[in-house]
Amino acid sequence: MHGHDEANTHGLYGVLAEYDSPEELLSATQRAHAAGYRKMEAYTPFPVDGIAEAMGFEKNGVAPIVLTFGLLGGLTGFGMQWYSAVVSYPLNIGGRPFFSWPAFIPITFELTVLFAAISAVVGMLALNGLPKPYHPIFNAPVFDRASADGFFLCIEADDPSFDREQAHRLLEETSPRSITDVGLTSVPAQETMATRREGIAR
Amino acid sequence: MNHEPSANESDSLALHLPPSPGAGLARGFVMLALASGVAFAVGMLAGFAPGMDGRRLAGSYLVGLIFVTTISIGALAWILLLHLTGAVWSVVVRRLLENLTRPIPWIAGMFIPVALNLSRIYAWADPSRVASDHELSRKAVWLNPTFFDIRAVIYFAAWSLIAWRMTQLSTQQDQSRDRSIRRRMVGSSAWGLLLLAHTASLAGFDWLMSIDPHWTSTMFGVYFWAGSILGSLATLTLLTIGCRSAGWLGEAVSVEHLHDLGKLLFGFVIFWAYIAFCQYFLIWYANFPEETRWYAIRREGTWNALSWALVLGHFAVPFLLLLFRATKRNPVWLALVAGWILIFHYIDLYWIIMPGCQRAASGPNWLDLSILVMLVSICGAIVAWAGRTRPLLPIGDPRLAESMAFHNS
Repeated sequence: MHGHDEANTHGLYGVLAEYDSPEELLSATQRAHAAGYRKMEAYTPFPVDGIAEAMGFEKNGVAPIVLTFGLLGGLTGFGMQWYSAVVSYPLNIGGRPFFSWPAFIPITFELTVLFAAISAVVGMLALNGLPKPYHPIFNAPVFDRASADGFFLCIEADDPSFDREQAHRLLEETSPRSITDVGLTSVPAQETMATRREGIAR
Repeated sequence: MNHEPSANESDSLALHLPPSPGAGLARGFVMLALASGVAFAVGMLAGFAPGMDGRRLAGSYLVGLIFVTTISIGALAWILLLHLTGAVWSVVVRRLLENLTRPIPWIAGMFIPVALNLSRIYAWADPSRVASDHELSRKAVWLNPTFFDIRAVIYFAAWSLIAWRMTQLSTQQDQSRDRSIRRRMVGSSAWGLLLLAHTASLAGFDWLMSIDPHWTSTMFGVYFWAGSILGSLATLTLLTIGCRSAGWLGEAVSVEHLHDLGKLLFGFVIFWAYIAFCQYFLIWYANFPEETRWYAIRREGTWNALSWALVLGHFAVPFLLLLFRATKRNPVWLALVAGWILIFHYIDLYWIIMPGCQRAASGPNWLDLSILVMLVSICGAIVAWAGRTRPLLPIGDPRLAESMAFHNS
């Protein structure tokens, strides 16, 4: 836990707002980003165009990982063959030179692809923080709707500029269906902190 | 996004297209063709290129002719492939591909000089050499001038038929907006691709591989294909970026479409390198003199320099540039890379054909270039003229609006 910020010491993961439509979520996200929040996450039942850009997401880090491991795979493939054929156990094959590089190319190519492909999957999972057996967002009972008809925005408590009151005020202005404080642990008391707007409970 | 456009929507798309630029552009290409023809004649008469005997000249013409042929039949392959895979993003560039196939029947006419000069290029067309060479007389069942010409007619007829069919269906779709036409396009693509794949591979064997009739490579058809597909894709990319920046496509083509063209270019640069290396590798590994000879010739002097130029220019440079997302999404950079690939597609064909048509390697000269410009300009005029008669977007395709809204996620 990042001790520097007070909110976390209260066991708060973030403030979660629920919206009825992707459009409302999109405009709320843009407002939160404009207000200076950077550590936030949107949860939707289906992919929403432009939501990543609204949160200030520009580029994922998978590409450099894949490039690095692709090069590493190529060097590994070529290096292992060079070592065995030239240094460790040279054999005369059809009178060819020991260092017959064209013969090394297929394996070099295959290991480049293998390393790059595996690093793409593993790197993507790692950058997403997966696998993640526990996520505090599920402590909010309303979050069940994220896989049905709810569009959620969570401003996280470890954002450097996070302040619970301010976050609530900002989200109130975007007229969400509900606002919930999400605890780091599933303390039932969190539920009582939820401020529900009238007449929308289903 | 499942956005179903209405007929009205497509109508308004057509209205927003600027007037067709085709006629003026076609005239420009005709002028260019005439100018390069004159330059060629003057260059020949002035003895500008010393090594330019009849054989060398025939080879040079063949390189230019195969260059324009591969671009047109490659474009045809793309149309069929994109129909069969049901690709939506590519609907906005389909009309450009269709226009690129329009020169095919004309190229058949341009093939006549080759048919009349077979013995200058192909050893098997010279009766005295066939008589003294057991291998050639054994292969004469397939490699003889009459059958060669008949096959060339069949190839061009098949390609013209497929191109005509796809263009005709597309025009009908423009006019009638009949949704069932799409199904017929897919159906025609199925038999079209089968026919095209076989005839194009055979054309590669006939026109290029048989220049050295003692040499065989079962991979040569694929190698020919790989170059054609890549060359036509680079042409399409250039054409799309050109038309887009001139405003002739309205707002239809976005950076997202260019990004996809860039991704395909990247993929097919690798495909070409993979096939080219496989062909080399198998022959190098087996190490039979009658097979390695073809490469041994290309490892000497000028040809060796061109071999390395191909490794670097046809593979390494475009590979490294296209790795970056920024290159694929920047129209100027993408156009530069596509143009670069196209230049190396020509060098690839030159490298395949010319060593068999020259006694001593004299390297490329300006007359090669004038022949190339002439043939490309003639085809350019035909493509531009085709762009005059129909809108540059397939306005009758029900998926056009969906294609325009395409977004890489």
